[in-house]
Amino acid sequence: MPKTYAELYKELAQAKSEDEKQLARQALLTCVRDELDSPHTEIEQIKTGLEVLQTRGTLEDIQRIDDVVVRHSLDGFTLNFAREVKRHLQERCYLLADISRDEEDILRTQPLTPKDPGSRWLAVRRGKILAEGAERAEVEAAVSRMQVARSSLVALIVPVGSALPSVHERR
Amino acid sequence: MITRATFTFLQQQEAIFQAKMKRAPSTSEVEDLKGPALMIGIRHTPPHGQPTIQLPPAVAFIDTGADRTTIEFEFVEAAYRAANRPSPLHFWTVRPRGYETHHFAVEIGGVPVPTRTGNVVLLYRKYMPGYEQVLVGRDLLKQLTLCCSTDTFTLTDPLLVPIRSRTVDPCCR
Repeated sequence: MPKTYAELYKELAQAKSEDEKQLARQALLTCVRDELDSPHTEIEQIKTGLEVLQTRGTLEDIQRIDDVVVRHSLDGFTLNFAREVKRHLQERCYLLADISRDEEDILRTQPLTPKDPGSRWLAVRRGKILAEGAERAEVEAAVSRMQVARSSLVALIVPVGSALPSVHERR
Repeated sequence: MITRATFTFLQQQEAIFQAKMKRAPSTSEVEDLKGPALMIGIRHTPPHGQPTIQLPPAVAFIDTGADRTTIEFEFVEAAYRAANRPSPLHFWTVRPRGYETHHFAVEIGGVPVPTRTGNVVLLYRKYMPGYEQVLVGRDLLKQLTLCCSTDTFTLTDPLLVPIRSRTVDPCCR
């Protein structure tokens, strides 16, 4: 009979050596992945699985989250959470190019308006404004301060109005 | 003189070719792909208070067709990942297909060579033409003297070479 999450978490908590902890972590992840890969998993189980991936997921789980989003019709909250977990994993795995491309795609379809009309620069993450300011340096500093709390956080700084400046160069 | 070399297709370029094309280049392809390629250093100068990261030697192509000196974004990304430092994206200027920054400078033959503006372009791998990690563009070549024959090239810092010796070589621009 398969173990419940409670049992798997208990095993993880009781593990003494690093090897035992690693085995318990792997057992938990395997259980979560099997559930997320199943087309019959309930939304509540998906949420629980995503919570586990948020803290313990690895590179291979990024595609898994994409597949879950495509396979299941998730409500707005769960969909947003799934995307947030995916971004967490991208940040933790240092996939800066992927993050940049995702962010640029969002910015192309969803122009951002600062709260303060005097702001000329925005720090954005997942299409949301994290910080804004009249000078680029103050927005850079705000993101650096956020990275003190969570070092893996990734934000882009874009000018208000024209998120992606166009250039023409030979090549 | 900063460097003098014959046109070549370096092992590092072959590795990039294999990664992109999923096969080894044929002998005739290697002959066609030989060009002004060389190994260079990249110096990282982060903003004040940020840690410096070390970048491995990079394979570069002297690209007179490129307006701007360009470094493959993923090459820099890998160095940051290896160093496990916070993301630097918020310090860089977003531009189509990548970023622009003054945090990296090219070193040729151990000599730092700034670009005209001091900035370099970081371009996503899929937009990098050829099989190199760096394209040395005209914004950098402007600071140097490039002599190029059918199978040899020389890069010289004009400030280090007496004018008389430069006039001897007719291929110098």
